[in-house]
Amino acid sequence: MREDFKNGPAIEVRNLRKEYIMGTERVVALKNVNLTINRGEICCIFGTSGSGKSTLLNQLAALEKPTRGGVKIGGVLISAMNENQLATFRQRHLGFVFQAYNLLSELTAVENVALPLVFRGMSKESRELEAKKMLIKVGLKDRFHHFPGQMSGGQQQRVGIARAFIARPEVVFADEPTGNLDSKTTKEVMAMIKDFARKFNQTIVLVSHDPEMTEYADRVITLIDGEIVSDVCKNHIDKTGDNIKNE
Amino acid sequence: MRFSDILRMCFENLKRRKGRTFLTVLGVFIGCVSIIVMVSIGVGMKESNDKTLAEMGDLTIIEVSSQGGKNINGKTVKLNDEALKTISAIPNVTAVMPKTSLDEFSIKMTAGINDRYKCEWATLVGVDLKAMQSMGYTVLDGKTPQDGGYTVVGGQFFAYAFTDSFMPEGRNQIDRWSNMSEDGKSENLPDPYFNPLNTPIMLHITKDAEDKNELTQELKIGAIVKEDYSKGYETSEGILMDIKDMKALIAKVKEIPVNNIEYSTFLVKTDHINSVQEVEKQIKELGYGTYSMESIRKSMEKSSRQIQMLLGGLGAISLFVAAIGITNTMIMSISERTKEIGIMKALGCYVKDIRLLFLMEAGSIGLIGGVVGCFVSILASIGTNLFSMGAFSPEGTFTLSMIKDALFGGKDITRLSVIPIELIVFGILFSVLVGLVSGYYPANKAVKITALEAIKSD
Repeated sequence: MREDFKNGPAIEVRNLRKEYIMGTERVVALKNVNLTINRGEICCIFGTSGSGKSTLLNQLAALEKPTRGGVKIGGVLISAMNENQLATFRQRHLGFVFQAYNLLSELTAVENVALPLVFRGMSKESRELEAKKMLIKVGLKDRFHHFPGQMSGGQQQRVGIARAFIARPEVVFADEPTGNLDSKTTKEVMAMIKDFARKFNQTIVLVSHDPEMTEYADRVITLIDGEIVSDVCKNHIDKTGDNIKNE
Repeated sequence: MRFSDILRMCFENLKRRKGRTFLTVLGVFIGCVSIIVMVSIGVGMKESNDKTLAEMGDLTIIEVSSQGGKNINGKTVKLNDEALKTISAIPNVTAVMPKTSLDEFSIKMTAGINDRYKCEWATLVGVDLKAMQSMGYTVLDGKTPQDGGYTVVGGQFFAYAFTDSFMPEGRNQIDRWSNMSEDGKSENLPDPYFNPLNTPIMLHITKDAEDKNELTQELKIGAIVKEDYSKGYETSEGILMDIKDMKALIAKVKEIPVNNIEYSTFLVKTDHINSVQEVEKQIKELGYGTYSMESIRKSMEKSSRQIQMLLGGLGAISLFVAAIGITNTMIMSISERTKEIGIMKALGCYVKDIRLLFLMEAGSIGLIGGVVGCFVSILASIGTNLFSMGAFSPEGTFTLSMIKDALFGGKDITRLSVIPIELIVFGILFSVLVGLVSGYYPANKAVKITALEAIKSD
């Protein structure tokens, strides 16, 4: 499937609509979204709370099924996949960075980072070796066997980033990754995400309500009331993502 | 996910919530112990029943009588040589022994100088002496006579049937009962008046008390057989005579030809205790009446099984309560771990792995409870048996070999609680099954948690 990713855009969204039933009322969270995100792009989905940005992220990452329309990642229609296919797809192609870090509290840093590889069925030795390499890259060489509760927020998020990138996914979704961090740590963490993305030509979908975050993105998509109101491309990244201009 | 990883995760999770795991395991443990202990008491009852029956006699013998029954053609059935052949041909029948007796005549026996020793009511039967071995008679002393000639076989307590006519009433008998131990075994028996093996016996047969036409016949006892009530009272205090001699005697006293004599009963031996029922049924179909220990055995077995079921049922209730405990614990654990499961799914964990993880956690609770429960049950069983064997009473002596007897049983030991290996295997498997079944619903609940839970902030 990696071959598919060489050609065409990383993410394609067509006529996406999402409605929720709240009691007797029907709430339209996304009206009709059409979007193409190129490979290697760092794309920020920006909007205030209630704008539908989180809903869009859920659809893009196939955490929820859309009411109408479809989402393709790497040319594969993920919105139509069943649970099993999605699990395999997530193992191979998707990474997540969460606002609340979402590390498993009873696992050490190494074990947390290695978790996506556990689901793939990799042996303990090789996956922990990989995890240690990743932790060294995010600067946590001396935190291998610490538990999340023994680390600061910035350190936990770096573990989260190591976990998101360990399986070399094509697309990494980051949901307010710096929402719980101070401005200094925010800079470090964002630099780290950007660094990984550039190095392996990975696509990042960043969701934030913080205007500062738009600074780190190549492209800013602004959502208001479930509709894209602006789509600003700061750095043009061509469709194959091989060369990055204006940087 | 690798199985080893699921296993590790499962035990990490159980370890993480030690207190809760311990309490849930305790529930299974109590359930498992109560089932095993209850059933073991039932098995112990069955064991002692079987011992009682075996002491009563050979369980594979069927006694057949004619009772004036009719066969399918409407003819009155007769116990003659033809019937002997028919019954011998039934599958699983290993031997048939014809028996005759002279019930309607008065038979007396005398022995010793001047007929000093008398037996007023002698039991005399004619059997096929050659078939004695295959019928399962146990010869205690002497050699079974093979060719008749009024050399006969005496019952185990034959000589005790005689009274001493030189002594006054009340002191003219050797009492073989008062020295008998509680469990019916004859220990330290006093010697009878004479040794039957080297004392000639005189038989006196008369039609009734007034009959002066007494028929006498001298007998020589060739062997002594062990008492066995399933074969007849004659094995205790009577005499077994070869069927040919008996027929000749009958012909003489009844004044009829030898060929017209019918047998009074057949003893039919089957190859196994389990064939008794079928053979008995086939003989009944021929029109004969039958009697065997089977009906007693069946009813004893039935009642002990009923008690076993009742006791097991009581134990099952506590295991059922434990099952609810497991389900409860698992549901709690899953609602606590909703976010964790969501994260696992978002990172690409398969649904089947999550289900397996939770089923294994529940199954492990069952397994641990079952294994510990079985272990403790065995200890409890040993303790109970030692107690009933008198190991802890002040006058009792305790030896290490008693533990072995308490666990595995022995020839002369009546155990209160018997745990066969099957019960242990069953106990463990059943506990695991209870764990899996009670984990099934929670595991399916866990599977339904979506990856979206990972995104939700709390």
